[in-house]
Amino acid sequence: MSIIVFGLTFLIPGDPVVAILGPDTARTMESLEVARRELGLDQPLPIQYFNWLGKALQGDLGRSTRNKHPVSESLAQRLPVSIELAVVSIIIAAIIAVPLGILAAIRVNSRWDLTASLISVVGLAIPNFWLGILMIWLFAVQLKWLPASGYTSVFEDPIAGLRHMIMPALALGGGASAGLMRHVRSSLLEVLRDDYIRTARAKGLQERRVLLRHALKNSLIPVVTVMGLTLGGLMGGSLIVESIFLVPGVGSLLVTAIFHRDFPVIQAGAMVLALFVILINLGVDLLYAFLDPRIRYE
Amino acid sequence: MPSSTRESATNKTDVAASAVAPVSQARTGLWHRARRNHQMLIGMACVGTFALLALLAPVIAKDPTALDLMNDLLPPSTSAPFGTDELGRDQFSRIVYGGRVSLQVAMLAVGIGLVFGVPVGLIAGFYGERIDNLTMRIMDGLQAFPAVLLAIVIASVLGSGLTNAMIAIGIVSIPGFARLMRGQTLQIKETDYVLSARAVGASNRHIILRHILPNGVAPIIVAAAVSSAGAILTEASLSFVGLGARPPTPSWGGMLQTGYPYLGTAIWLSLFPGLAIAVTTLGLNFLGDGLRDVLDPKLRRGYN
Repeated sequence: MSIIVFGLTFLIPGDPVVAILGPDTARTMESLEVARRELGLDQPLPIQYFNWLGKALQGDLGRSTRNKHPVSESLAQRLPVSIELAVVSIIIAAIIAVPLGILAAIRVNSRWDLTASLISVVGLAIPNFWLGILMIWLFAVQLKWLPASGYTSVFEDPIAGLRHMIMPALALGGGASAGLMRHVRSSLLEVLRDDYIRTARAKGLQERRVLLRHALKNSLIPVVTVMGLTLGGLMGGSLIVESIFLVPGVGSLLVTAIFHRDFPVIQAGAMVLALFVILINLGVDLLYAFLDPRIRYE
Repeated sequence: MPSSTRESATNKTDVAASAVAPVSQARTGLWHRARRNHQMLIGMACVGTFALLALLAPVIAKDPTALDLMNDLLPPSTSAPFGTDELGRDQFSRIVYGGRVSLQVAMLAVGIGLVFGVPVGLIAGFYGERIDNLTMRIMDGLQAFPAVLLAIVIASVLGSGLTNAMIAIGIVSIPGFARLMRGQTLQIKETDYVLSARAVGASNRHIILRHILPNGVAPIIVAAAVSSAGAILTEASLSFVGLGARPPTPSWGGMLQTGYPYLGTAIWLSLFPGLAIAVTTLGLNFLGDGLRDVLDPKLRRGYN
């Protein structure tokens, strides 16, 4: 809880008045004062903070200083889009990372292992938005296979939805898979050294069965945690990827807000993303106890 | 008082002398191991190249802000090896000067992370209890946010500009260093040599600075290399959304942003800055991994 409260305090900006009125226009100190009073910014910071928090808890996140839209409405519209993108991305990341990680672990130090680790190292170094740009160039501009940008809900038109979603999700998930793969590999390697694996092999079980039933199941427990953390990280990466692909999610809303110094939107958008990350982390912790009965929370 | 602490310090050098000898031997072995570590060599080559380019920028590159509207969007050629941008500026020169920005950001941001994170970790780990709880909860709070998001929020609050971007990235990197240093401190605190230092009457300050810090610094160095890579990536993201270096100052992320609308006609504007980012971060990651193997061979065994 303290984390959340701290996070909230942290998001209170320095002086939005200057930003709203524009820094270069020759504003007098008086007009600054008036604007401050209107916005309730002349009050001490803790009071401001609790005012804001009180309203936020009632679902009132203020209005955009740019187009006067209620922030909560635009967020409610855009959050599902961001969640959809994040979920598709993490699925893609898992599809890439899990098989490659397993392959690298069961053939340690082989050519497969080397290739997999090379891919992951390169994947970690490539900025996801650059990957996105390159994909647009290849698949949209050159090959004309996919639309360069835009969004259709998968629920309305599954095919068009996927065609729009696949590139942003690959850009986000591709980068995320690099880190994930390393974890799959090291986790599986660790489990493979355990005694019960030796027992399973000694019993004469098929190697396939040992791997799938005994080793993989247990080794994926820590991977789930990492996947949760990765999902949180994706929310950060989604900012730029969403704005490249013009996906109307919270990320692109935030980026536009940043360009226009639209502080209510920045505050609320960042808040929602951060809360989302915290919720995911909490969910992962609970899931963890479910997957591994040895872990108990008091 | 000062004289007595000094005396105990000299006494301890004697006590520690036997422990110092193998360390210096390990140091000579360090260089040996480093030269045989391919990862580290590749990393050093990548980072070194960009560092050298950045240093020699005025010599090898043209003015990165010189406009030449007659020659805009030219593909790569001998006179402009990486082509020219929408204002006719030489892209090679802009990448070279952009390297200055990226390396500067990496150094300053990691510097901030080190200067604040390491002492916090040392103090939290050494004194424990309430201080530990308080500081680590704050660090938890900072880490609850994805790094890019937090950096973007801080930078948007501070306003655009390179210095603010560096501060934002630096703040984001503090918790990582603090946690790492705390873990190291907790471990080293329990070692026999700290116990013996305490037995001869060393002050807490002395133990922290002379025993815990030097012995726990290896993973910090590794983390510094890896987070420089992260800092460069984050700076690129910030510049891409207009929160980094202000134009016309060339920065790799900013170049990707201005080049993006010309994707269909001038792919080189999107290709080379991204390549520069990727090679530098790749180099720093390699350097970090290599350093890990070189500085602490034990870790390598644990990793495989």
